[in-house]
Amino acid sequence: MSDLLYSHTYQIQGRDFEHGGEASSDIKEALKRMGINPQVIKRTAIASYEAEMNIIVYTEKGELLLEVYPKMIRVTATDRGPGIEDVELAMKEGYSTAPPEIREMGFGSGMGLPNIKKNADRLLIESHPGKGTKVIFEIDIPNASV
Amino acid sequence: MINGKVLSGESLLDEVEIKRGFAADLLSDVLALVEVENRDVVLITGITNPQIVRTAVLMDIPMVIVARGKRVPWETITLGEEKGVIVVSTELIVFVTCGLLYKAGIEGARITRGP
Repeated sequence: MSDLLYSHTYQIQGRDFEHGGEASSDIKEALKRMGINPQVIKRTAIASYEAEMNIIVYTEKGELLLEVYPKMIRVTATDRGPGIEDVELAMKEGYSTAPPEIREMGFGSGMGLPNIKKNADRLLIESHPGKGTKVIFEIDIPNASV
Repeated sequence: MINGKVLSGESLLDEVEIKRGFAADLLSDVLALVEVENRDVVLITGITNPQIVRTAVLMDIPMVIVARGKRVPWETITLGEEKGVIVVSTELIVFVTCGLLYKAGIEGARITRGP
């Protein structure tokens, strides 16, 4: 995969609910500036937002890497959080380990990973309990609209 | 109509024409389900944190109504102002807010079937 058009790394601070979603808003703006198909932008922004909130809710610190190629967008979310014990279970809609205070904030409903999957064309989750999680997803750009 | 108080984005009121509504306290449901075509959807919620504005920005939702008279934190109001999202608070509960809007001709939001 050469021909990288754009890349940027966003640092995400865990528990920083006030700024949660800022990176995804920036990603949305960056993709808009590149003139990418609005539907692709929305799907990328939604999936990034869920990945960003997962880092904020469950970990101390992490990052989002945005890479734009001519035919697809790749986002890599990496953290050194507690990891996911059972990825298959975590992919189930409604399954959540979030504490009640997170749910009261409108998150932790067990829709995060399923929502990423719904919006992405490809999704890979690598998790090592106690060490961290890496979520990589790609969204295709139809007709190379960049 | 809902006796709301505009907290942010007052200057944008003339530019926005709301035709559809969606009510949720789970922001993931908003992200997963709502289809916004022409910036014409209002979100009615009981959540007050800045994430309601972030979610609105991402989804191209121009207006958020916070129901049940909940105190909306300063961070949410200033973020709404900064991002150009109209944040309105009302003393009414979600059910009544939705009912009044529906009676006034606001329809339910279109739901996505996934990409």
